[in-house]
Amino acid sequence: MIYLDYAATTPVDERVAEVMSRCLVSPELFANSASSHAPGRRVNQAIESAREQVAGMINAAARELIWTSGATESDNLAIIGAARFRSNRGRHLVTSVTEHKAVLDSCHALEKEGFDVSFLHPDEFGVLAPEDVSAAITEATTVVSIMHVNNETGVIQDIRAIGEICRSRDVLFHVDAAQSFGRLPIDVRADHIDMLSLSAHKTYGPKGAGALFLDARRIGRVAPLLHGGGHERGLRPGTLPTHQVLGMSKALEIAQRNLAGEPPRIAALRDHLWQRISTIPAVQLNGHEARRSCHILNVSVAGVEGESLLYGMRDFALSSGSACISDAAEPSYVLKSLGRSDQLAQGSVRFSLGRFTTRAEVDQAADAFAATVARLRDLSPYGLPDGMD
Amino acid sequence: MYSRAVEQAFEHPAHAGKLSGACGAAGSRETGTRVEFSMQVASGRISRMCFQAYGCPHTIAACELAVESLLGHPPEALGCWDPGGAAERLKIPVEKTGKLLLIQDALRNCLQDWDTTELDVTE
Repeated sequence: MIYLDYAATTPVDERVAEVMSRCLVSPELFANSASSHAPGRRVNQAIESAREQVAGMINAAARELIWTSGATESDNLAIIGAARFRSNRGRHLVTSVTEHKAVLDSCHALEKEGFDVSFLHPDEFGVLAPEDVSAAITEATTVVSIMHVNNETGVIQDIRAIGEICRSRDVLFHVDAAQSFGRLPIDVRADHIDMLSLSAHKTYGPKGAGALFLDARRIGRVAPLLHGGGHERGLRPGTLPTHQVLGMSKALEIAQRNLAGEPPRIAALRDHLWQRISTIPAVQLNGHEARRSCHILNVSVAGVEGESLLYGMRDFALSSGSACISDAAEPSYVLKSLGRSDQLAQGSVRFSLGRFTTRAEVDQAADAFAATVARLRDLSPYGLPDGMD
Repeated sequence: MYSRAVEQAFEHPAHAGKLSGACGAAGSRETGTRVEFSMQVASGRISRMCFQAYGCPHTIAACELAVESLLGHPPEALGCWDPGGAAERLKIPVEKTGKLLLIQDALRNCLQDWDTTELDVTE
């Protein structure tokens, strides 16, 4: 099985696993970090050191970072927490229809509480115009949430331009950076980001670990979603999982250190894969050709049914859309929003490459893809789309 | 998710293609599944039969199974094809029952087309 689903999750880097397993068995690191005794203080020191390290990677201060269980929780806490806490100032939010379900469903939950949400539509390449964000902001807007890199298409949004707009209109700007950390540089100050969601498992760290950045100068607090203790400044109660936090910190440290070398290598593999696949008739790239993260290639195939396409490629771990919804038969809402028909959206495949992907694997995937598409078109009463013979 | 029988039929469909003769179709690309059957009859029996399918692996496998089971039988057998038997043999999940009903429709349409011509290649 060749793994090409790095956008869904990444394997834990051995160096990360080593840090985590050391932490799990160490008699020095099992204590509760909230305890005031010496073992507790020792663990607390390790966690605070990790916090400082991760915060530093995005140009934030340690006190601005909250540990969470992952980007989904961070998105919920940022959006729902900030909207509720600022509800006396306004009850309107702005986001995009191509956001991850963690953002969209948080917004839908707020709608049930009486908040209004504007769902913006990107262009046919998946790019959101910053001026559309500006036009959507009203006197009642308190939060704008736009993802950095789309999890299905890899399209990169101009978060700096959107951040500038939000800052000038005194609206909080939240960015889901689950897919972008370690692949693109992130500077919360330069990008005018007020809240940023991070995930460990998209960056060769453990599942169940994440963080939320909250700009101390812009947002003192959010309304907590969980209750039960004063951990994480009372914003996210619960005993901190030391091994997860240290694992995440190590994973992000490696990704940050590799930022100059790894993304270009992966981008070259992705471009090679596209070069091979684009020779197949009636295959379309989903997303923007240039404004795209290094690790994702999403293509639609005309005249081929999606489930059979994936089954034909079953020696490869691939995704037909967001992994969180790939059990659903509905065509991808992200691709639909780009103007793809139901058939093209359903007949789409996301290849996502990563640290351990090789050129030989990419070539194998391209060969298998071409053969599968040809075989399914031979079987189909439609054959090749009109004019493609 | 897919039985061994589905995998076999999906990978090696022996009866994929199109014949001149009676034909019947059902479904559409827009709804995600389209199946077409074509057949020739000799001496009152189905002598050759093929299918084309745009659909999921279960659909492709069920089409192959349908053709296999109908070859050598009188054309009227198309009207008696049992979707339940195919579901059981291929272990097709209940949520895919609609695909089997489409195959049943296409086979009945094929029979109807043959009824209008009653073309027997031995005649």
